[in-house]
Amino acid sequence: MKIKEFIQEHKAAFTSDKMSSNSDANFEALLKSKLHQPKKQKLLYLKYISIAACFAVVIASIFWFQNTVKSSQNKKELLANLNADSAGKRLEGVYKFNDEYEKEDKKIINRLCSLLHKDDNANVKIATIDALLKFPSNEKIRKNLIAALENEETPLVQIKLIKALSILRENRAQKPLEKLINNEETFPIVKNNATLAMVEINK
Amino acid sequence: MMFCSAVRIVKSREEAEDLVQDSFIKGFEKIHQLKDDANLGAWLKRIVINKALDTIRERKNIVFVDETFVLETEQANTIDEVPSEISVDFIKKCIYKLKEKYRIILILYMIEDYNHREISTILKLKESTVRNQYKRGKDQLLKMIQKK
Repeated sequence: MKIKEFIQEHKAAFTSDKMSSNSDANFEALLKSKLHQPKKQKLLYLKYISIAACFAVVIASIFWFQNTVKSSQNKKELLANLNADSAGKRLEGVYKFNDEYEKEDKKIINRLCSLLHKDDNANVKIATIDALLKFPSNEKIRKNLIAALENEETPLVQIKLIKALSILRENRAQKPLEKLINNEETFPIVKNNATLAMVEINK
Repeated sequence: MMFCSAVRIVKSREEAEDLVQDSFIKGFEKIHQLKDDANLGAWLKRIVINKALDTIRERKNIVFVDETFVLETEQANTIDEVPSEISVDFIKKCIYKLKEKYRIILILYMIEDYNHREISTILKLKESTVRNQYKRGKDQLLKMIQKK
C-alpha cells in the first residue's frame, strides 16, 4: 500500500486529538475581551468624531462671524453712499447694491424707495429703478414704482418707470398711465411708451 | 479537526489551542471577507493553518526557501510501499522526526489534502519547489519506515 493511501485510510487516527476542557473557558474569556473591544473602539470613534465636529462648529462660527462683520461693514458703507450728498456717490451705492446684493434688505430697499421719490438726479433715479427690479415680487417696491410714476415729471425717468411697470405687468399702473396719456404736458415719446405699456399690461 | 491540523503543524497542544482560538476570533472579525459561495470550514481551516505556520516560523526562524533545482522525476530510489502491519503511531513519529520543511509539506499534502499548487500558495513557494521537497520528504519517511 502506498504511504498516502495508508494515511488516508487511517486518517481518523491522525485526527483524534481533542481540545482540553479548559480551553472552552479560555475561549469564552477571549471572545468576551475581543467582542467588547469593538464597542470601546466605537466609543473612541464617537469621541474623535465629536471632537472633530466641535472643531468644525468652532471654525464655521468663526467664518460666519467674520462674514457677518464683513457684510455689516459693507452694508454700512453702502448706506453711507446712498445717503451721500454727491450724486456720483449715490449712483455708486446703487450700482454696488445692484451688483453685490442677492437678498432683500429692508433698510436698503427703504432708502432706495426714498431715492426713487426724492432724488434730484435723474441718473440716480434710473439706476434705482433698475436696482429695485431685482426683487419683482416685493409688494412695497411695486407700490413705490406706481406712486413714483404718478408724481414723476422728468421724461427719461417716466419712460424708465413705464418700462419697469410694463415688465412687471402691473395692472395697478393703468390709472397713472392713463393720466400720463391724457395729460397735455406729457412729452409725446412718454405718451407713446405709456400707450405701448398699456397694451402690454392688458395682453 | 482544525485543532488536529494545528497540533500536527506546531507539535504542541497548548500552542495549538491558543492559535485555534485566535484563528476563530480572526475569522469572526473577517467574516465579511468570506464570499457567499465559499466554504466556511475550509476558510477557517486555512486561517488556522496560516497561523500555525506563522507560529513555527516565529518559533524556529524557519524560512521556506525556493529551490531552483530541476524537477526530480517520480522514479525514486525507495519503494513507495508501506507494510500493512505498520502502526499509525509509528508513522506519526516518523513524520514528526522529519526536517521541518519536509514535514510541513507532507502534512499539508497527505493529511490536510491540499494539492501542490495550494501548498505553494500557502508557503509562498514555487510549485516545483513544493513538488521536490514533497518527494524528498516522502523518500526520507519511507526510508525511516523501511529501517524498522
